Amino acid sequence: MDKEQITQLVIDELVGDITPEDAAMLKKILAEEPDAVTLRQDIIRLLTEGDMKGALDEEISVERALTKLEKQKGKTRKGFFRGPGTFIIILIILAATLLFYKQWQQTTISKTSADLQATMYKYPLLMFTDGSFIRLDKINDNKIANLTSGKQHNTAFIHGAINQFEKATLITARGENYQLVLSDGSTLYVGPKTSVTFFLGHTGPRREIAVSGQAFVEVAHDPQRPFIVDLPQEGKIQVLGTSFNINTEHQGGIQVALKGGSVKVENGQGSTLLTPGYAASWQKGTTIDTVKFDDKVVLSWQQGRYTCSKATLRDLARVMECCYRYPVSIDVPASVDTSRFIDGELVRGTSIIDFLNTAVIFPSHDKFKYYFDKDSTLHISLNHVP
Amino acid sequence: MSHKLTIAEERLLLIKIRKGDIEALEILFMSYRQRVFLDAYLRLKDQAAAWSVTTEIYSWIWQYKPGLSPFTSIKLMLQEEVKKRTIVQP
Repeated sequence: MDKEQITQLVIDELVGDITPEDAAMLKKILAEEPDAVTLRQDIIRLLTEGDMKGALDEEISVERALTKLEKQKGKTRKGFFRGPGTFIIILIILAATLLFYKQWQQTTISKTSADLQATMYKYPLLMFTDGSFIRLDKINDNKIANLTSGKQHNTAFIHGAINQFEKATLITARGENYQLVLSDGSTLYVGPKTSVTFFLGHTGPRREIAVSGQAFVEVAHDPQRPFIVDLPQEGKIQVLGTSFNINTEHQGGIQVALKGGSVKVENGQGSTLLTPGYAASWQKGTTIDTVKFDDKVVLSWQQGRYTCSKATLRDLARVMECCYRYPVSIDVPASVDTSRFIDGELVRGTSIIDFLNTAVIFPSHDKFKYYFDKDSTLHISLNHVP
Repeated sequence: MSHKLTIAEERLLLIKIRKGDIEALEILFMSYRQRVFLDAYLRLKDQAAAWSVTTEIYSWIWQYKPGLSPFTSIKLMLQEEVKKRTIVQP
C-alpha cells in the first residue's frame, strides 16, 4: 500500500470516520510495515501539535465556513428573486402542474427525492439520475413505457430507455432479493440492500453496469457489445459470456465467484482470468487472490440463507439486514465492537428473535441486549461496555 | 465529531445539491469539512491555505452542481479535489 493510501486511512482514523474493514487493514499494515508506523506518527504529530493544536476540535473552523456558505446562500436567494427569478418561479409552477397532471394521468409511481429517504431499503426502487424514482413493488404493467413487472412484483423487465433516461439504479430492500432482466436479455439476481446501476437502452457500444452489494449475473451473449461490471475499490469485471456472483461486502473486501464461462477481473493492482468454480477476492489496496469456492456457501443467499462466521456485531447487523426486513442499529462504539464472537446461520422466514436467542453463539448469554424501538428498528448493544 | 453518512444519504445529498438545495451542501460540508481540511493541511502545511482550499472546494461543488454525479463517492471526489488544488498551490 502506498503512502497516499496510508495517509488517507490515518486521516479517517483521526476524524473517527473509519470503517471496521479499513481499521483492520490499517492495523495490519502498521503491524507489518515499520515505515507505516513512522508515517502515522508523523501525521498525528503534524495534525495535533504546533499551530494545529486544537484544530481537530471542530468548533474552530465551522463558523467561518458557514458564514461563507451563508453569504452564498443569501446571494443565491437574492439573485433568484431578482428579474428573471419571478419568471422562473412561474415556469417551475407550470412545469410542476404539467408533471403532476402527467403523473396522475399515467398513474406512474415516480416521486421526488423528498420521499426517497422514507422508502430507501424498505421497497425495491428504480432511481434515475434526476433523483426521481419508481417503487417497483407498485408498478402496473403497461403504465410505464419500457418497464414491466413480474406477477409477484419481485422481477422487473427492462425494454429500453425509461422517461428518456439511458441509465438507472436499482436499490433493493432489506430482507428480499430482486430479479432484473435487462434490455439485452442479461439477468441479474440482486441481493438485499444492494445497488446496481445499469443501462436501459440496447444501442450503446458496450454494456456497463456497476454493483455495490451482492448480485448473481447471467450475461446474454453478444460479441459485438462487451459486458463490463464496475466494482468499488477500482474493481472491474470484463465478461466474456458467462454467469457469476459478486459480493462487494465479502469479509470487508470484494469477491467475484465464477459459475460458468469466463471473466477477466481487475482491481487496480493487477488482473486475473477466472475459470469456473474459482473465486477472485481482494481487500482494499491488495492484489487479487484466487481460490476454489463452495457453491452452497457462496450462492446460498439466493435461497435466503446467510452464514455468520467469526463476526462482530456490525458484521452481524449487515447480514441481518440482508436476511430480515428490519433496520438494525448497533448501539456500541466501533472501537469496542472488535470481538469476533458470533457464529450462526440466518434463514429468511425464520424468527429474528429465535435467531438472537438460539443461533447466535456468545461466550456468555448476558453479554448483549436487544430491543425493537417504535420504528421497528432492532437495537443491539453490549451489557458491559469496557 | 462528523456524522458518518451512509451511501444512501450521500446519494440523496448529491441529488439535493444538484437541485440547488443549499441546506444539503451545508450537511455535506459539516460531514466532511474536517477530513478535507486535514488532508489539505498535510499537503500544504499551512492552516490558512488549507482552510482556503477547503472552502474553495465547497464553493466549487456549489457552482459545479449540475455536473455532480449522484452515484459518485463523495469521499473520493473530495480527496481528488484536495489533490488537484494543492498541487497548484505555490
